[in-house]
Amino acid sequence: MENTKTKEAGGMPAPTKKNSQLKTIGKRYLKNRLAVFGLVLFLVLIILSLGAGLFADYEADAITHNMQARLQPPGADHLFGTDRYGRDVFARVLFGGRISLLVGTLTILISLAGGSLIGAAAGYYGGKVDNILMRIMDVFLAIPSILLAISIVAALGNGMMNLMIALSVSSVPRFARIVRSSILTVKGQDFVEAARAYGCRNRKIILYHILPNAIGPIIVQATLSMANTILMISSLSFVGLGLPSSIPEWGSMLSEAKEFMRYDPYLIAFPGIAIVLAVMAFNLIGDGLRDALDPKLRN
Amino acid sequence: MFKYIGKRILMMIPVVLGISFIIFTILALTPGDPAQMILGENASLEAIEELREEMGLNENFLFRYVKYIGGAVTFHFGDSYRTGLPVVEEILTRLPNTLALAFFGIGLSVVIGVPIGIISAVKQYSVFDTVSLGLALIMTSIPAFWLGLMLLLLFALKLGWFPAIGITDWTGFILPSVTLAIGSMATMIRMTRSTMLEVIREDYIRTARAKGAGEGRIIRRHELRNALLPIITIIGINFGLQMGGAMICETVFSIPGMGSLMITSVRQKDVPMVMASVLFVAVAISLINLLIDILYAFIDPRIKSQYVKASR
Repeated sequence: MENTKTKEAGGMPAPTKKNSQLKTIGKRYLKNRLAVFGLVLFLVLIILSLGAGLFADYEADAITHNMQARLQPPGADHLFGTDRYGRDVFARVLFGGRISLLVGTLTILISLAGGSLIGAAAGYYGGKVDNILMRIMDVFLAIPSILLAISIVAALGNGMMNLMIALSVSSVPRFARIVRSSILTVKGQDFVEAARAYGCRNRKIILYHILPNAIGPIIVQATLSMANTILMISSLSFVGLGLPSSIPEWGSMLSEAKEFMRYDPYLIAFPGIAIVLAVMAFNLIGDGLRDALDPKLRN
Repeated sequence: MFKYIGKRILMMIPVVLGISFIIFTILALTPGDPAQMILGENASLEAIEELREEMGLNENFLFRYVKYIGGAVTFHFGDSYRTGLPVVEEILTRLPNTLALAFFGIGLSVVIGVPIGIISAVKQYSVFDTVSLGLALIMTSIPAFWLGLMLLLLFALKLGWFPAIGITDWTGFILPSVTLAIGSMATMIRMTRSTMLEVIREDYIRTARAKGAGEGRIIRRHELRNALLPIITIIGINFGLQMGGAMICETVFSIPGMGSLMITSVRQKDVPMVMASVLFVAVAISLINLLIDILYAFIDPRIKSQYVKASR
């Protein structure tokens, strides 16, 4: 099945085509120095945040208040210093990465699923279904995501689950659009006709024949959305509409540190740098993937 | 021409209605009884029931929405649960601050970003190009509120060049505008560069060069004019983002604008205030995009000719 699918996909003769295509894309990606830098940044981010438990203890360093050691500047004991409650900033930045990555990934997965469903339905069925679904998506796109997120948080309240709902709702339309347009380009091709001719169900055609061929732009959008989502998580937490401040999160750390920044600027420096590096990693990977997948830039 | 403008305005109406319906629906999900909130914990059941009836909370959802829109058309957006005053009053004092911030931010990013993008494209792969693309990359990844905090720390708290809080005079706008501008400057540079690069490869540019036009004239008259349309589109898209950024930045610089209003209203479950604030900001953004669409008609002879022919 795997082989026939790829054969149909590219209209290429050899079943090994998929491998070699992946290889050329990979090669082109690795040639792009900035994209490789993004990948390295991403790996460091993953290691530091998923392995945060190796460097610090969640309960003791990042959560428990320790008033004797409050507002200590960066040094040997506390690499990034301590905050107003004596919590270790280094530990909180690391565990904050875990929160951002977790919430970001889940948000992207939810909006990817929702967007694919809507986009696929619109693109595949066309006509009225397409018109109605896409007009609704247009309205959602017309609301700036921050406004949409604020309204949803207003209705549902703070918290991780609500934050994820708020952020996914605002990025569903983008995925829906991309999936729809990819489907429109693939839909008319012969292999879809062939699949229909031997009696494939609509759902099967969409899932097994159309979506795999639209995967490139979707991955690029997912990566770039991830950068954006991380920014939104920290922005909303910064103004107090995201995660509760007890959870170590970069945005809420910055919001807590704001009043101390005059004499303890390190408190706002480290969480901010963490956000910049995380966002940059995803931006670079997204840009790199887009260039690597773009057939126009193929040489 | 009027036909085109009229058509654009008509197209705005369903979008604004759609936005209001979505936000109204979301906010209708808010748990808790507004009547109870206004009257406090100790209110009697009868009093609450009476107020619910008076506020129309017992009506069905669609009816309430239609009533809300009916009120909105005559500029009645209800009273704040918090202050009891019409929400419009407070919004109208705050909206100009947010709009001003967004405008200054966009203006600054165009004035600086577009020339940088042009030079980058004309001198592709030069040191200037590499440096400006690198800067653009860093600028897109910096959260505006953090940049705001850093600028505040350096220029207001350490150097004392600008006020740290509020907007008593125009100097208070400088730091927040620069903060906002840096975020959108990155897109400005990248988009200007890439559209210019596309335009530069067009045949008509080669023709212009072949007929002996000077390099400066080619850039100004042939390349920039054709690259203008995509650049203006980006300004329109960025405006919405800028409004969002401005609302977050306000909290950093303690500016009384829509962002701080919405955040306090959300915390206090002041639903009419949140609803009207979102609506005002969304309409402001749609109006700006309408202006940009109209601007297209003046700049792009292709759109102009379509409607001139039709009216003949």
